[in-house]
Amino acid sequence: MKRNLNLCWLLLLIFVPVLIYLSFKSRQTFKHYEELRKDLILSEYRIKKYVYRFNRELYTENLTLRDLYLTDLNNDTVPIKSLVTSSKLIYRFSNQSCSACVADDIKYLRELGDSIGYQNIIIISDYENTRLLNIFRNSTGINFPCYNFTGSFNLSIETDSDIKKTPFFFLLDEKLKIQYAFLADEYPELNEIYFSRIRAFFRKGF
Amino acid sequence: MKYPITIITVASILFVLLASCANRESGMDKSPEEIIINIDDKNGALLNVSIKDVIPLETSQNSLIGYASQVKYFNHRFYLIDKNRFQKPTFFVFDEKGKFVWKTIQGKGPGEVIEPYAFAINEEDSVILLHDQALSAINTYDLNGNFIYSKKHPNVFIKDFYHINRDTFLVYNCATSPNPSPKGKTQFLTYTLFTNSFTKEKHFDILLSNNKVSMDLFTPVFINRDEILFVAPWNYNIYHLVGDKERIRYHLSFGKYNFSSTELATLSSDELREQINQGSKVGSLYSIFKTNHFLVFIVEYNRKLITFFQSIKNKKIYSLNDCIDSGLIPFCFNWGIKNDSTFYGLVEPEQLVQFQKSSDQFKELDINDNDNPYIIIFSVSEL
Repeated sequence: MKRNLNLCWLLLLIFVPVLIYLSFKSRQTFKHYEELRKDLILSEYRIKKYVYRFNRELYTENLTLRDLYLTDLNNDTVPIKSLVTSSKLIYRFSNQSCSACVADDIKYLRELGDSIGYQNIIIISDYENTRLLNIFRNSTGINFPCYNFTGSFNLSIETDSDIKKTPFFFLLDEKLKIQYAFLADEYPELNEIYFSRIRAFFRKGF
Repeated sequence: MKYPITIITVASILFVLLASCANRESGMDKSPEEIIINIDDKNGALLNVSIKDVIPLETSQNSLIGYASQVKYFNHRFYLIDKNRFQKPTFFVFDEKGKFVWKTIQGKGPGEVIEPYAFAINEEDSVILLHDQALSAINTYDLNGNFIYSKKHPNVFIKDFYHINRDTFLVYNCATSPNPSPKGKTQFLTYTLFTNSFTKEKHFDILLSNNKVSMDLFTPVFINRDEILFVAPWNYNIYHLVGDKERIRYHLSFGKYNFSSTELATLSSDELREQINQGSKVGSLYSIFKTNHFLVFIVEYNRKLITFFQSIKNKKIYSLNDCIDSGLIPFCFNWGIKNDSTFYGLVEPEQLVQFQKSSDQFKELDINDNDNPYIIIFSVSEL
């Protein structure tokens, strides 16, 4: 009887720690799988987000922009066709765009301006009036040509459903044909790839 | 024998008292008043609008305003926040004639701010409370800009806030609710009542769900001696603060242009905004004001902000936009109540020049496109 009791105690002493260890391990495994599942959901979301962005860019490619009338810093109206005597990089942002994002894009544009020439970059915003555009220009210290256009470009890349008003870039040639449409991205690496293509375009001149 | 009579008498008195208390309670809980608006009404009557004064806000290197997101009037001064992030966000004060009085300085020293985001005026103590979003602190100044003290509140999210009384603030939030929806999804708070130096909070049951986040509203809260009204995003109700509880005081009905409750619950902000921009639905309430004569509210529709005045006397609805389109008043991008009979509004110089040309008024003003915004003082009445 005493021997059986001792055997029971021994078994308990062995199995209880083993059970505790297995339980801990399964919780760790569960936690790990939970993390993986969340990463997968996030990845799926990111994939959907980038597919959506890619489609917006793709459906804008090779479209012809209608001849818009912009407002310059002197409050004069200027047809966009008169500005693109050769291909220009257009940067479009909204006064509702994330200002930190715009500030970052301006930094890229300055570097780009050093290599392709400042005259080849045009900034178009949608400020309600020239005063705000002037304040933007003076605050950022930029010397690119800046214009206002409060309407919509009617391009897929600029949609009503984008309440964040993501800024975007595109090349516009003298026939108002659009190439290299690109939504500004939070990842610097993606922006760098885009800008290197733009540099190559202006170097090769086609 | 007399005891039962005594008991019955006392019981009757108690019953009457309880019944009257219940009635008083149900009196406060009366059904919200429905305001029916025909947004398509092109032949609406015009209000009688009269501009009393045009005040140029001093334009100098030291007082240059970018985008004034909030403007309030108190004690013969105009207070506004410039949230233009390409410049340093700044809190400005101008006197009643538009002369620059003082502004905040950027920094982390005493009285300095990094990102002034919202402000409230404590009229009882005549002080200004300025919320610095970057430092998660509220700085208190007197009306001459002298710094009094600063208090940190790292766990309080503020988009806008209003001083109710003593140590009580109504805060318009943008924070995650501690309680998820019944289906376990994240919800966002809109309003919270804070007391005890922002340590005690009571969240209102006006939540946003399905990835909708609150956005900047212009003047979502109206406070006077008699009542406190406020509006919330993606919501057609005008709420009334009673003690520490919210009640729906008014409900706006735009007919087929209202989003249904299902649409509001299931669609994201992007999807709702698309319909508003296309003119198929009326969107959020942005502002609420009330005078002795009018209830005033601003809604978003078809890429514009539409300002409605409802007569308190006869419930008739007017659109201030009709008056703007008719050239009676220039477009004001931000405005408020100066006293019961007059309003103030911020006008861009470009808009004022157009108004000068179309109305032949204020021709003596020499307005430059790059001037600071102007303040117009105007009165509104029914014809």
